[in-house]
Amino acid sequence: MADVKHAEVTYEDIEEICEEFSNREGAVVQILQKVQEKYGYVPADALEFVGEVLEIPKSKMYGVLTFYSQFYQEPRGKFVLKVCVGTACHVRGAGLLVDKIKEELHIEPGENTEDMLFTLEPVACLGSCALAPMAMVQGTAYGKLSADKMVSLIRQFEEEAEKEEEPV
Amino acid sequence: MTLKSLVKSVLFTEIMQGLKLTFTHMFKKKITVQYPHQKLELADGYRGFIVHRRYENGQERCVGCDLCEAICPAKAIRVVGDIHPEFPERRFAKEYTLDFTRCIFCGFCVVACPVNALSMTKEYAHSSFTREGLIYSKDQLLTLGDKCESESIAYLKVRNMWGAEDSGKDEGRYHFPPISATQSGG
Amino acid sequence: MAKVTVNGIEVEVDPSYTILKAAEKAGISIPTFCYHPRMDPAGSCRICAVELEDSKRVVMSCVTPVADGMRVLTESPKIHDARKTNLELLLLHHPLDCPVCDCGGECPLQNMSFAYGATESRFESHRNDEAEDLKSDVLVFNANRCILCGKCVRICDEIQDVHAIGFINRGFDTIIGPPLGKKLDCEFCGDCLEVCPTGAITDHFVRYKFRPWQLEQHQTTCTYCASGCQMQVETENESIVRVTSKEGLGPNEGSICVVGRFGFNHVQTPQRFDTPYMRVEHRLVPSSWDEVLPELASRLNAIRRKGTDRVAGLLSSRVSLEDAYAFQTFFRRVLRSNMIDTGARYGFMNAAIPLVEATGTLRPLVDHEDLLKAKVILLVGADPVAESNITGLFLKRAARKNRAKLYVVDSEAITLSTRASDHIRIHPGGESLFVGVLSEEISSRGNLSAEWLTRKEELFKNWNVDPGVFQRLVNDLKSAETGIVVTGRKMFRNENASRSMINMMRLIGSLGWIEKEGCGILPIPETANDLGVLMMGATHEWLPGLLDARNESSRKQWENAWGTSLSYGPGGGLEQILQGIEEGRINALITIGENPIGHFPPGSRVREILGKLELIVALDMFQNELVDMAHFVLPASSSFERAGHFVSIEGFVQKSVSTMAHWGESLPDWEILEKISYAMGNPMGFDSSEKLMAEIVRFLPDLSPSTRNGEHFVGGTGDIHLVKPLDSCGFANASDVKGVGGLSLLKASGSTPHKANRESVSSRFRSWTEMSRPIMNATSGIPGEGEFIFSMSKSLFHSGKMTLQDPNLKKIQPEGKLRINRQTARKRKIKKGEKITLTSAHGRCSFVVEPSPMVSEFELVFPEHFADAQVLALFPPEMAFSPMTGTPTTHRIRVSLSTETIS
Repeated sequence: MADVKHAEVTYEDIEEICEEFSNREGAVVQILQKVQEKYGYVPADALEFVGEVLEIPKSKMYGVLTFYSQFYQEPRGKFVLKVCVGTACHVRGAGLLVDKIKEELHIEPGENTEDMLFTLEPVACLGSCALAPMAMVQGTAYGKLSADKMVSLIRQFEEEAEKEEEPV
Repeated sequence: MTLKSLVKSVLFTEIMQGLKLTFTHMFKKKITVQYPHQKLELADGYRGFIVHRRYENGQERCVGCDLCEAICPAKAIRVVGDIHPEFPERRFAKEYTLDFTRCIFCGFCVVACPVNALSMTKEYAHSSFTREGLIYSKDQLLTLGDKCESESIAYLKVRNMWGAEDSGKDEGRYHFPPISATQSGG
Repeated sequence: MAKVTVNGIEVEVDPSYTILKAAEKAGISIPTFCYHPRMDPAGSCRICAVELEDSKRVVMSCVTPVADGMRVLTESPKIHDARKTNLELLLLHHPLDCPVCDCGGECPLQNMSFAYGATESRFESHRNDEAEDLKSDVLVFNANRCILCGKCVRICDEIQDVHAIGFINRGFDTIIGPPLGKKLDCEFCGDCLEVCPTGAITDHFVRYKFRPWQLEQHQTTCTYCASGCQMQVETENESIVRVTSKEGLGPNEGSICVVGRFGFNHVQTPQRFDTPYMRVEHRLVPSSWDEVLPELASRLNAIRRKGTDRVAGLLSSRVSLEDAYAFQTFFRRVLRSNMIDTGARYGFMNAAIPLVEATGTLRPLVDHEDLLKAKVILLVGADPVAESNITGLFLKRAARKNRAKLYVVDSEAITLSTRASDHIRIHPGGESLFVGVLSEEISSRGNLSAEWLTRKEELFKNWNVDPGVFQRLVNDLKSAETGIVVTGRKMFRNENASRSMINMMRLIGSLGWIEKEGCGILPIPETANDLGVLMMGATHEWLPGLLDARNESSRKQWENAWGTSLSYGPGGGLEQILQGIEEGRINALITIGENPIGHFPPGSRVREILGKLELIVALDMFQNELVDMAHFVLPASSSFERAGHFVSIEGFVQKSVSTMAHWGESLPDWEILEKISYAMGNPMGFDSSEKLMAEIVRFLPDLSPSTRNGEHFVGGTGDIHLVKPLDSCGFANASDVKGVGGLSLLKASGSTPHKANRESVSSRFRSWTEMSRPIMNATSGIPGEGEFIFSMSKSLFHSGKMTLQDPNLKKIQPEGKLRINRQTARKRKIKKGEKITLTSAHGRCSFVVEPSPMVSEFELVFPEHFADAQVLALFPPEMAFSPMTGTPTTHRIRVSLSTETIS
């Protein structure tokens, strides 16, 4: 992966997030979730600051962070392509979807594209097996996909991103 | 009885019987070997001089684990382990000396070696005018090993220490992550 | 009490016991991996499984409490199978690289696999193939060999309270390591290395250089700080390979700090002197003892004949009791001089003199176990973690586990601040002022003048200290059931240190802590044997046994004891020695491991003064400024090479044994002095260190060797077997002591012979308090605008200047960095590793900066070990000494900071 630009985190921002949970040690997971919501991942600095505010040692904080696979330590793409590879989707050809994305975007599962637009993330069941094979992007579920449909979806997202950039 | 024994002693029958064996050997094929000019063929399991072995890529096998030193009943081996100068995660023998004036050629060190770095050869006639000359360093042992590679492999095979290498599996033998990378397949 | 039957043996144990502990009481050992006697059980390794005979259930003995009537089987076919299966599962991931693993040979996992025959696993193996974490300079983490017992993580959390390593990831991928994939950054105590039951944690310094079965183990006492740790020095061919500790052994209970564990290599570096040197035509040339001794003796004899007090002596306070005793005997009896002083003069003397005057003893009133029982602990002017690491550990435990109220009074945040119930941040150097205010507050019992109160209010306002916190401290101290004041280096190196110590004594006197068991004051000596050398009378004030050297009757006492007449002069300490040399009254100087030049600024004329001497004899291990001037340089043995006794902070007299061969021709200090005295024709008659110690104990039976005893586990990592308590005398040469006789003098001091006798202390203290006056004479040291106070601290990673020669410790801390407050650094745009220049009224010097959140915004702190002539140039060249204790008084200096560097 190319050098990724890490988010700039200030102590004050983290303090604010911790304050929401009244600086309780027990709320560390929720706080980290909030941090991830804000930055898209949990930057190392943010982890240290949360530890400082909650008075939890860094080693413990890192243990929590790495324990849960929902937390990311590296910046993620704008569109995280969560492709279901659960049983039902697998049977209906989720593997083909993943292969297509790999081919289209030249990324491996878990990686970002160089323009930081896409991240491929195969996930276990998303709970909509009736729509298999399915994927979820930015909270929206796309069901009954095929490799071609996947490509057009990707194109659609690319256009969206371009549109957003234009006014700037 | 007395007559029979008298006849026996007069005719030296007992001595003749004994000499019969001697005379038959006089006419058998001689087995004396004219040693320096003529040499015997030794068995593969012959425990001659101990040598150090290398991997096929020329890398020395010894990992400096000191097990040969620990098992040596004659205290003939001295190993000084250290970090490999090129690979910081690997152990190697910085110094390895084998004192052949003390060695009793029992072969325990070969059995103890976890990486088949040691083997015995059919070399038996190394000599020196000084005692120091018989204290071999690692380089000397490696050179000797290069010279007698087929013999050392034969020794390991006949002594049942080759199995793991042939099977290509590291099961049953020791597994060293750095070395498995250098071996084919690992 | 609960009755438990273990393998048919019936034992009665406390119901809070676990089965493991009950079995231990029955003398039965149960194998463990994750159990550690000093920590809470985890129950993660499943090896300590035992069978309950009645229910036929298999339970984990380390976490299951006993019940009355319980019948336990520790060995049965079922248990054997359970353990074997467990081992097979552990060996699923564990690489079979024992031959190249540093743990191979002392590995409990290896031993257990061998014992239970788990040679072949029934499961398909998944050998881990993670690369080793070689980032740290000290420890190597090998995730493949880890069995996830969590001992390292727990000891770092529970015992050391450092939290440097933790579990990373989840499930099969779990590994142990420092957070964020960074380099390990901790106190490097190496306790995790010690407890690791496999080779998952090993260290760089001895990596691959040894095999455990080749090593010879020597149990000895660490001679760096005053904690008096018992450690195992392991040698091969008489050279030191590594240092380990034994679980539960000694006052340290199995923990040793970074300096003790890794600081052993300087004694075997080629820079050490291995032969005597003599100055011939302005050059030091290597020589031999046979050549040096007659020459030296004749020159010393010539000087001695001129009169008393002609030869001065400076002794390092890191030497053993034997050396100190021989030192003072040599000067007082042979050279007829009382011009002697020790390294304790630079700091600890400020505490020692008031302590001896007030209590009559240097033995502490309290020990580490009292710290655990104390309800309130006041920590003033000390950083125990750096100064006496084990005292720091006990304080952490007291505050964390026993919930003692810990008040830290310091200008900067120290390691213990996070554990403190309150941290009172005073201004740099304000310790004495604070103690004055506090002692006045408590001893006046509320009768304070209005003027005092306004001054106090003003002071707290200046300091930005909440008066409420101060009031809370006062109330806690007054109402405390048991309380202890801990003080240390920062206090001793305060401009008004001796007065503050008097105030401190007043404070604990008026709290009634002198009489009360478990209460008192615990001053942290600066070096391993500060207490010992003073008890041995190695300063001009005291004869051995802390008798006044100028007092005629005490001199008589020792004349009788030695059977000779003592005709030394009035004598003097460091100040008088330097004065005497300048005025030509002293012609020769003998130093043992001391270098006065290194303690004073380059402009202070010390070098010039010493240049006037006819004869300088330096007994040392390494080159230094004084050695460059010396006429004779005699190679001294290190404490690893000779036997001797040391007095720890708790008052234990512990033996350090000879662990390696003498380096070259080096000799112990006492032996060198003996040889000189023999060559002078006036031998002292000490022919072995055992005889020397026997003589000390004959005259001062109070100094019989002792250590903290009790049941403890041995092995630490895995094989647990019970060790019988040591006998009350502790060490072998107690029998020698009896051989000499004179034990009748031994004071019966009950079960704690190492502590001061409270009765005699309180009776002496009562007469002393009447004479004392309240002293309140100090000014608050607030630097002006843009100014800072430059001060020096002791680093955790070094001990004195000696360890700067140590390759291992130099790797851990290679250079001294100036610590500056993080906010200040940010404001001034100074980044880590940049160079800045400090300018004082006397000089300037540049430093590499390390911003730290711990330091106060008024202060700049530099580790004293790295303070060379350039750094000392910041201090005023005049040598100022305290009139009361003769200690140098300049420890802090105002400086201004600039980012330009000196060319």
